Amino acid sequence: MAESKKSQNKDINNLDKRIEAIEEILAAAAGGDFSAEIPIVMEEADVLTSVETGINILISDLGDEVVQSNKRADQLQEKLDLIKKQRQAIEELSTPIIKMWDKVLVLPLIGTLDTRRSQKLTESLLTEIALTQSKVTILDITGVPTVDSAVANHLLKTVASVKLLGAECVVTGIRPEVAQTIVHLGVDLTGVETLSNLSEGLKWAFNRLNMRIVEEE
Amino acid sequence: MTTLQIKEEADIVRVRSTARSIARGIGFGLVDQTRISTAVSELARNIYVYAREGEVLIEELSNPRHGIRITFTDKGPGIEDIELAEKDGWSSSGSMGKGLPGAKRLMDSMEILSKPGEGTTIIVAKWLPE
Amino acid sequence: METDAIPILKLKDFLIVSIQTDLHDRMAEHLQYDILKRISQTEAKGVLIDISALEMVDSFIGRTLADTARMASTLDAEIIIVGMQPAVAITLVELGLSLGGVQTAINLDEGYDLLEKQLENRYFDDAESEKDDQSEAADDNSAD
Ligand SMILES: Nc1ncnc2c1ncn2[C@@H]1O[C@H](COP(=O)(O)OP(=O)(O)OP(=O)(O)O)[C@@H](O)[C@H]1O
Ligand SMILES: [Mg+2]
Repeated sequence: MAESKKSQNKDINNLDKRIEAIEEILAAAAGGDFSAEIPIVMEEADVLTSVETGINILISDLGDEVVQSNKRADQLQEKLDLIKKQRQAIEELSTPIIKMWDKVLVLPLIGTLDTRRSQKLTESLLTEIALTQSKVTILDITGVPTVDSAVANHLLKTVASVKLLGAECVVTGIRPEVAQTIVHLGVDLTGVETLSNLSEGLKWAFNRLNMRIVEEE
Repeated sequence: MTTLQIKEEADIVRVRSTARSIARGIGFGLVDQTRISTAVSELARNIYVYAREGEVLIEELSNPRHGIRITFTDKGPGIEDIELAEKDGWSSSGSMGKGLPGAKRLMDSMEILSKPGEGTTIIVAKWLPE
Repeated sequence: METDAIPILKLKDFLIVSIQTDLHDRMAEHLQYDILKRISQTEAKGVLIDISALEMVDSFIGRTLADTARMASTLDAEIIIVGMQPAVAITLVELGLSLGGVQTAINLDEGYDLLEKQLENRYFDDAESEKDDQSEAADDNSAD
């Protein structure tokens, strides 16, 4: 009797320690550390051992899973960065300067216009004007999502430098909401020719070149 | 490193064309060369107009990035209110007040150190685009 | 300090100036005076100033050009700045000078056409403001 009581006491002591160990491990896991394990003595296996083993497996799996998901998050971030870079590249590439007619150039602006991009655009537009000795330039901003005061200032600078070169400039494709923000922001567009759409711009260009579009009879 | 003196009006032209050719040598493109020589012309003229004479130091920078730094020094009257002088359209001489703010826009950085009665030092820099 | 004068050529009703060297300040001021003097001597109705060789226009040159244009128009002559280089135009705008009110043309041909058209329009407008029944005759004249 005495001996069995003693062994039971020992078991209860052990139980406290083992539960303590489980708690520690769970706390560590909650804190993001999945490396620790509950020590298991297989020779003395009892009911609790299977629970302990189960927790160990669970935590080790959880650890693997977290590593995996971090990896995936990193990969996703890499892909997002790549997409961002590609979008910038596409924006830069996707601004062709179109020779619409003899002495008429069209610059269809697409995407956001920051200082760097708008400087580059202005530079290539002016170079093209000088090269083709064009008289009229149409800046179409249908593809510009938002025109805040910074973007409007970039546009004004582009228009001013085109004029200095001796070419005329018209801005087309101003959407209603863009017109609203331009006025709300107090951007002064006097002195800048604006027209609703590209085809109006083209008519204006022909007019400036003393040309008329005539329908055949 | 090149040092040039400003003593007469023709020096303005000499300084700006030297700055342009150094900028070209560093590898700046045509538009940047024009921006740099124009900013230099403005700051050199300010020395000639307000301080009569002074000195211009042109340096190539390679650390941390490639670029050009130009330092304008004079022992003229100095600038009373630097913040005001940097404002677009402010001029003490009835001119357009475009020189300082314009030079600042054309360069990547501009620093003005000035004490009334002692003189003015203006340092501008521009980096080579990557 | 000697300044070599920039030649001013006369072609029919107009003057043609081609700036071939980097302009220093006094040279720009001289040129302004020379142009105005020639306008009043020759009664030229327009001036083409070719700046295609200018690698830089700073606030002084820009202002001198703009002033000259305003002064010329009080002498009844229009000034057209011709052939500004792209890099110069970009820099001028960033400097804060867009030379508002100054007429520009991409090349001499276009500048000349512009002056001729303005000259025609001027005679046409003058005639129209006089008498309605005479305006058609005046229109015919101006087409010569
Ligand atoms: N080196 C200098 N020494 C003393 N004062 C200066 C100096 N440079 C600039 N200033 C002062 O700063 C003001 C602004 O200079 P800024 O070059 O912008 O305009 P500005 O010379 O008056 O006109 P602009 O350059 O358009 O002809 C000047 O009017 C002058 O009072
Ligand atoms: Mg100045």
